[in-house]
Amino acid sequence: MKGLRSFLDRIKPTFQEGGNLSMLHSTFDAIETLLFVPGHSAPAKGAHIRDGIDLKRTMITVIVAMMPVLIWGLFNVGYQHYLSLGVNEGFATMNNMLFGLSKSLPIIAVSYGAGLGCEFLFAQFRKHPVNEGFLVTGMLIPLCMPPDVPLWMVALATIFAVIIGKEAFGGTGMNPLNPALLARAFIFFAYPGSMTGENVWIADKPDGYSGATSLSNLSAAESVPVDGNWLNVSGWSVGDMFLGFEPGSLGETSVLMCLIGGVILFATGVGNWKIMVATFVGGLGGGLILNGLVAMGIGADNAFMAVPAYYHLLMGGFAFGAIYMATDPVSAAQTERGKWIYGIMIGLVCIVIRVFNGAYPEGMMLAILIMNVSAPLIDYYQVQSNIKRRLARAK
Amino acid sequence: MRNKNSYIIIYTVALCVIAASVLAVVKQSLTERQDENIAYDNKKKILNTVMDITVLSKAQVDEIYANRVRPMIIDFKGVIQTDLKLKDVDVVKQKALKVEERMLPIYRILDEKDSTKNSYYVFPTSGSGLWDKISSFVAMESDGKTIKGVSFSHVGETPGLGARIKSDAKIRLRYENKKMYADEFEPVAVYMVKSEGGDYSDDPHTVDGMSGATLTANGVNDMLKEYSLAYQNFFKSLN
Amino acid sequence: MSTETAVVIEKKEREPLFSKKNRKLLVDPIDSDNPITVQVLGICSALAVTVQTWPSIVMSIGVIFVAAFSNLIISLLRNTIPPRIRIIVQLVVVSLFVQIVSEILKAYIYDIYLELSVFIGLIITNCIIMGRLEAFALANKPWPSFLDGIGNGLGYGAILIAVGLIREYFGTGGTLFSGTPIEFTMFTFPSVGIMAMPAGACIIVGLLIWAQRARNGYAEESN
Repeated sequence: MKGLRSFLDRIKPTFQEGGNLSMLHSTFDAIETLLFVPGHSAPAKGAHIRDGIDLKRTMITVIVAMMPVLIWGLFNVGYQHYLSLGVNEGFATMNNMLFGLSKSLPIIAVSYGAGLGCEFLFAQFRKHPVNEGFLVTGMLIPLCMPPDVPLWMVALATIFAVIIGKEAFGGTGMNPLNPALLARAFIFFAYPGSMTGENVWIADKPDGYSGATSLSNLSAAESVPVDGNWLNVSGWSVGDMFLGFEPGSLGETSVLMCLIGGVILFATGVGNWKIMVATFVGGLGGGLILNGLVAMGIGADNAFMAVPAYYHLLMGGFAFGAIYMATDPVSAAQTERGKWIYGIMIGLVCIVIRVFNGAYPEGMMLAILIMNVSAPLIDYYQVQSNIKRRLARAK
Repeated sequence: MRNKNSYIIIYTVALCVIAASVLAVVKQSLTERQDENIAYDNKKKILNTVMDITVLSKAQVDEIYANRVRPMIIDFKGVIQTDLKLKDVDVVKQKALKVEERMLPIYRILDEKDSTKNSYYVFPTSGSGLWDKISSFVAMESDGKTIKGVSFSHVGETPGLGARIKSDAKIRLRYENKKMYADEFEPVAVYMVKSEGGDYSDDPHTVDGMSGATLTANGVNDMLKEYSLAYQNFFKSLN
Repeated sequence: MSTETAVVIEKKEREPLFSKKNRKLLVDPIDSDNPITVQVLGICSALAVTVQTWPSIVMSIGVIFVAAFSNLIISLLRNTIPPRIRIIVQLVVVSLFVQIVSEILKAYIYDIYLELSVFIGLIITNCIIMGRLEAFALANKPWPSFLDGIGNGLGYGAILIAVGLIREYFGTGGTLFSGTPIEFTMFTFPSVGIMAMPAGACIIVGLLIWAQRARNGYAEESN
């Protein structure tokens, strides 16, 4: 360790102003701060908060919180693949793991490669240090991709998200939209064939084997089951959906693993619990309102409206979005009451898109993006109402 | 002076009269060409169902249409309405009526060599896709059951998904040689399935679907079903 | 919808037809005072008609024609128009020219007419045209007004065609020359669906603004 430190100190002048490689200063800075805690922290005297938590530690915590879904996803990609071939040797097998790795590692590598490449380029041009923001984005992107997505699309989408979603607005911390979701939305709209339909959610599945998820089954359902047996309609049981034994994007299938990640984020204080809870409340509330409408006879033949409200929380990427995407502190609402409104609206909008827009059975991505854009507005009115209240009190 | 009411009124009237007369002159001198364009566009859509028109010039299309296409109007029972002309019947407006009450346009395509024989029958359809209206022309073989070819149009389906009914020639070809009617002319129409990639060459009433465009496919299915019922009696009367 | 840009031109004795000032009227809107990327007018049609290059070109010509001639007519009438109904008078003049464009397209290039459909009629509400009438033609002589109309039409057209070229190539893999003998393909790739949608145009216009500001410099307006 000491040797490394002295090596860095020795080559440091080369990269500083006036040095031969001063153009690469931010690259050097990024590597140095990755290896050692940066020295420029709060001074030892005076009233400063002295805490080891900085952007890097925050980001690493989020990555740790994503590990459960990633590991589950690796097994599930393999499990679904072999299931489609008619082989079922159980879930936690070496074969499943290896197949999952062979599909996921390239996506992860491409996502980090393309994204960090862009970040470093912009850091050099704009002469600012490389930010750590992409560490999380680079992991979120593979987790919300279908396992069969072509790698060049991942690269293109990542570059798009970093340049248009982040750098155009001023870099890490300035982005109005969640970059990982933007990358997904880019593929969703640019190459809809690779992000919708029944053929993309299971890697290398044989033709003819239906890879439909519970969401696509429900949106295509033509009638409400008379006996109340929703298994026949959704195609996957509540247990399967909760544990994550259904096809889907790499990280979204298992609600249980998402919840474990949520607990890690909550316990470390990195993710905001209000947004997570509010999103689930909003989704459940939206589902219950629709159930109520059905009970009143409105849209009674629409299976998507009549399905028990908690199904919405288990299907698709709802839990994943609520826990990892909606809580992104940069693009979410900042005020405390604003966070509740923001989360509840995400849940509601998601249900509305899922049920009423037949073309987009998964509404979570679009709901979060819409609320990302609305977050500053929520904050604005929240602040204004605070000012008003305090002024009234002052009088 | 410019704020007096009388000035404003005279000014407005004069301006409107001048603008209107200019427009009237323009419209009058261009009407003939415009009608010709609309007619030609329709001709292309009709002939497109039975032959490859991309290789034809405008003159050739006009010639083939004049020699081989004979429009007529029938009612639900299949009786030819000689007192009605093509321009009297608007497919979209007729859709508001019950199927039994509609007047239905149909185009006979005469045989290339023997002009007393009909090779194909082409009929127009209109329906709703996911976002907006869709329409098509369907050409039937002279047996009245088999589809010779179709051509779809749409206003605003999603590019790359539903818009493939027009942009992707593969989709059109899937309908060729499928059967609109069962043995006794029961209207079964042709059904586009939900997912893509299946082999339906043995099934006369089913075609492969469009991945990610189920709702556009549903619109197409409903439209074909409706019009197979509307033209049922006519095709039955051919045999 | 419309933002007004006040352009004040002082009166002068006799000046040549293409004096420096008049040339500025013609050239400025193409870059430093571009109606789309700088004044941010006429975005709606720029997003809607630019799926392919050819309709973009036709739309641009239509807007140049309407902008130039309605500027000219309004400028000629500027001392007779009753102030209380000036917006109505402008609308009548603009819609007259729009209708003429629409009829001519319907008669001579029907395919394009179908494709542009409602957007030809919407030239009437194009913010660029009303904006220029209010901001320029009402206060200036006919000849500078005419040039201003052409200039702004050209500026609009330049962006439209640029967006059209990019969207057509990435959205459908085609170029302006597809189907003609000089057709060419650099390399083939799956078409990018988002470029066929208006959102694609929004992104490209944004990138163009970014590029333009990087080149010309940009300072946030202070308030």
